Amino acid sequence: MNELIEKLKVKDEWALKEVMKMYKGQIFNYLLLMLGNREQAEELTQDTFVRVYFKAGSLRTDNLKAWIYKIATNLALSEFRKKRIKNLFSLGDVNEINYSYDQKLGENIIIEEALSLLPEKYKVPLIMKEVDNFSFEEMSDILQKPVGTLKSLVFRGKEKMRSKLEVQLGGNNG
Amino acid sequence: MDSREDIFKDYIKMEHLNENFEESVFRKIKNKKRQRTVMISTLGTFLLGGFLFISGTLFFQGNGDQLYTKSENSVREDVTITDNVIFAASDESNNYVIEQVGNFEEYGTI
Repeated sequence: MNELIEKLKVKDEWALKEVMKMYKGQIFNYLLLMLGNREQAEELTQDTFVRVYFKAGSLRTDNLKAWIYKIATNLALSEFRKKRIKNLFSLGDVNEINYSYDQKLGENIIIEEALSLLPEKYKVPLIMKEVDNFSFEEMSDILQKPVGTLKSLVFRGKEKMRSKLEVQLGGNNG
Repeated sequence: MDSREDIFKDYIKMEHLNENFEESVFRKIKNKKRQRTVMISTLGTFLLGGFLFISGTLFFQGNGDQLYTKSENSVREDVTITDNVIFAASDESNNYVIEQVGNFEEYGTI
């Protein structure tokens, strides 16, 4: 892994290809859950690896995965900000998310819809912890927040998800 | 749903990226490199242009002073208009300046 990081630092294209093989799927799914839009998620996944290539020289950690997630998270947060500004000037639904992919399990749809209604301050740590299995320490490094705050956000995020899922299942059943 | 210990335990990641994903990344990298080169060239051109402009301005400003000094120090020349009337002009170039006019017959000199 260290050799890969060293090669990445000198902008070796083979190293970038290897890194993409290792993480592109995870990053894409992470961004897809966050944004709820396939095209946007793919675009931001590409942008993540473009940044990896150009910023690898300043990489100061051995935890490559956490560093790449940090880049992806920053891009997603910036996208959320853009959406907020866009929604401020439009009459559209604030929580309107475009799911443009077709084949998936019903369970996934319910979870993704509930997740799309969750504010990003809960959504980001919840996905990192529950879907991508990061430790709170790694999350603290990536999101620049204290471990205690993150534990609380994940707990409250889960509670909000549960209540949203109950409402959705109740609505579907009724 | 209450029995659910872990909300995401049944969540299955099933989305896959396009086959040309890596190609698109390298294309973006190439474009960004080109943009950077253009930006650096443009910036360099502006800096060089600015430097040349300032140097030129300072250079010609200096020369202007010299020309003025040269004109001030140029040899005075008396030009006779008629026998009794002369005017004094200076400047060795074509730009004659009338300084004073005198009539020797009446006043001797000015």
